Amino acid sequence: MRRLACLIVALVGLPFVSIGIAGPLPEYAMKAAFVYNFTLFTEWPTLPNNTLKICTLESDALKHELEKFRIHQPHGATLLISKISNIEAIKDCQALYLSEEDKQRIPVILSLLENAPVLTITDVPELMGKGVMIGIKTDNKRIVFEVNTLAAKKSNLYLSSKLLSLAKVVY
Amino acid sequence: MFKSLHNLHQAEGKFLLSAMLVFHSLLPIAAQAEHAHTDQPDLTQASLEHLLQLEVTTASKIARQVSDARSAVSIVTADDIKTYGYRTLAEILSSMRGLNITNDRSYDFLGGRGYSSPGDYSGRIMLLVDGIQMNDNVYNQSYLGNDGIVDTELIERVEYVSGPGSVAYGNNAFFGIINIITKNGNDFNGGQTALSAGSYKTQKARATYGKRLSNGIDLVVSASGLNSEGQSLRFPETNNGVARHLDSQQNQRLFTKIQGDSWSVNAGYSSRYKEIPTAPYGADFNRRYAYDDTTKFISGQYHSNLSNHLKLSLQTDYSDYFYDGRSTFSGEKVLENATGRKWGTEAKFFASWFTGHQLIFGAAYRDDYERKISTPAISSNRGRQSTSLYLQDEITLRNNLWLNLGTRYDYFTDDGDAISPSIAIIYEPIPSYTLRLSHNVGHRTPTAYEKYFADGHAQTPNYDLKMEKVSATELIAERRWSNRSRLLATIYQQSTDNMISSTAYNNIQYFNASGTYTHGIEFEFEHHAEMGTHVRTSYAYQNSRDAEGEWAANSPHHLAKLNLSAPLFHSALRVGLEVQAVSGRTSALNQNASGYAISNITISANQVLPHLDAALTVRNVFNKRYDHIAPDYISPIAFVAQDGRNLWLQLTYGFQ
Repeated sequence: MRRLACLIVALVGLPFVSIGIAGPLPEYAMKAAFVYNFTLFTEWPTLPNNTLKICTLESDALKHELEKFRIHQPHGATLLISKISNIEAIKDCQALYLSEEDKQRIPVILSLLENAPVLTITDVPELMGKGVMIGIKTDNKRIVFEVNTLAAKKSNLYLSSKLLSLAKVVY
Repeated sequence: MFKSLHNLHQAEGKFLLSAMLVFHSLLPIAAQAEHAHTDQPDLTQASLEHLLQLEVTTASKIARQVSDARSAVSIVTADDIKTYGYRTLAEILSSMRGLNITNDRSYDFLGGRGYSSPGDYSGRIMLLVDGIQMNDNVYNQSYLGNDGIVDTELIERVEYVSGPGSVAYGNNAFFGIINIITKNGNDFNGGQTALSAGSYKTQKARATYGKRLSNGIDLVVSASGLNSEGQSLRFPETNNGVARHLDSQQNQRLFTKIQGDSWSVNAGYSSRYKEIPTAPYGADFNRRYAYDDTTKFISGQYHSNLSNHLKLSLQTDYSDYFYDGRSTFSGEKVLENATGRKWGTEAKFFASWFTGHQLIFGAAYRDDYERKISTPAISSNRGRQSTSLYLQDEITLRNNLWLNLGTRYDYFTDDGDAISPSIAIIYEPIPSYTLRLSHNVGHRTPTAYEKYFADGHAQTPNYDLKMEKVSATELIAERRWSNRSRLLATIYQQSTDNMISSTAYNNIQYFNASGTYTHGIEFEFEHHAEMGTHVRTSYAYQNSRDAEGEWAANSPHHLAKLNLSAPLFHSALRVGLEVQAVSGRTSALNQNASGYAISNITISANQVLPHLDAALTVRNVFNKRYDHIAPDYISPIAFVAQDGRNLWLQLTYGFQ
């Protein structure tokens, strides 16, 4: 038993000794950067109290990365990053990120939002084409995105032509 | 109870020492990783154009189930398969919560939810590959060893959904389903050749090509072959006889998957020749006895959005199965074979016509037009057809409360009809906590083998055999921490009715026994740490009573699993450690097999040379001696000794 314990310690302990080296960029840091950039190319009918609020539901990993953008002022507005616990509050967001963890609630979320001016972004492949406006995914080690202009138009959001030109798919 | 891992002899100590030496000798490889670049751009200042150019690493996270949301699901991913060096589906399933494998040196038999009758071909757990049912239609067997339909290297993930799944899958989704999802061409993005070699003079070669073409079509083609000489095995019950060179096997596989946006075509072929050392059914011991199992399938799927609120999924498949048994009884050669051919088609609709309702409904037709058995005593071919209708509704009652109702009707031309209702309540009291309470009913019709087989000496048919039923109630609690950790606890009870059982060897006949009863509790914890360390561990307690109220045969009370993996030397290497413990079991004749714990280690390295990956697996590291309970029909053999320490080295070369 003791030998097994030694072995486990040896196997588990070793990696903690090693030093972290930067390879390609971590997924959530990249996704957060994309989400922030999407807000730069989106026009809302109004920005209440001159604030721009990006919301996450359960993805703490993304929220943590988004916090790093707080010093920025997109469209001259104050940037707020918020984790929503009361689902009704999603209407107060300007952008909402839907992750794998939120999958079960998506039908509820989309019907709650209806045509509210909230930019919806997701990295869940099945949700693209289900009324979410921007879908991001990894393709050949790089992040690409697709845009559903119809859904954005319905919600009175104007997506700039530059955003559309950089998208992999537009429909 | 668990026989623990002490009493290690010196040899094992030496082995550990040499294992550590292997790590150190690999240090120079690790040094190569130092060249990775360290200057990260400031992403908060990066433009969208710039971001599109940057490479990203996907964070390791808990895989989300694609199967049925009402059930407790365990998942093994392609990463796990690589990390732990799994060669067969049986090895994958052994690592999963509440499952145990019994091997009698002919097949791997799967046990789950307290049921694990040794040698029971049908196993009562349905196997699906990309949504296509893979059990053959003569024995209802799912092939989990080298006879399995697909190479493990082509598997993207395996999901085990515990509990009756007849509401969605009908016949034979009795104690659970296993859903295998294969990789896409894009996952390979080029060619791959693999050579491996292992203990017992085993070699395997594989060539795979996968690509997503510029017109959007995704393509995988793969071929593999395996050859193993096996061992000369001693069976104490046969006057200490040794079956010399009667454990060899050969396997060939072909697989392809072609997908467009809304359609896919899959086809596969697997053929295995295995020599059987145990002289089953009273055959002459230490004389040649061989099984040949060949499975082929082809299927087409088509998906279409009929409107904004209605989606259609169509599937049609054909599969066949051939079995050849060559044996020697009292010096006479005996030939035996079975052929199963079937085709089926299904139309499945997903509708969101009404706010708060997600409807799934559909119809399926299956034609088992050939179920043929030929032995010296009988030649029987009993085709049959079945028709099924089903409806499920997931109702959103509140933002955090769902009700799932479903029912399925199946009609079989030979075995009558069955209704399989299901109800589940899903509640999220606070985000990331989920409670699921469900009640499911399932059924299984007797197999052609159980109902019609006769061999002239050991087994007689029973034309009156009826279908068996199961109903299970389960409460599942799940807690997630972001997508890095997951804790699952489940408590269930399950009872069967008209359970199909067989009388003892030498006078085998299948009959409907009364009901069996099982209750159990299971835990599973999974964590993916920032540093790349993964842990997955589970414990299952199960108490299963057979029709006489006795402790069910070969049903361990405790199953504990631990899978731990970590990167070494700046991720140049990855080590996967696995421990599986199974408590004592009893045979149908009340002979006891003691519990055991075995440990396996895999060390894998990507890019040891340009484009070349290597992995070394040591299974049963401590060379633990342990037995599996033998099926009745290999009497007088009561226990089958399992493999001692064995090695497996894989080299994989990838090219564009």
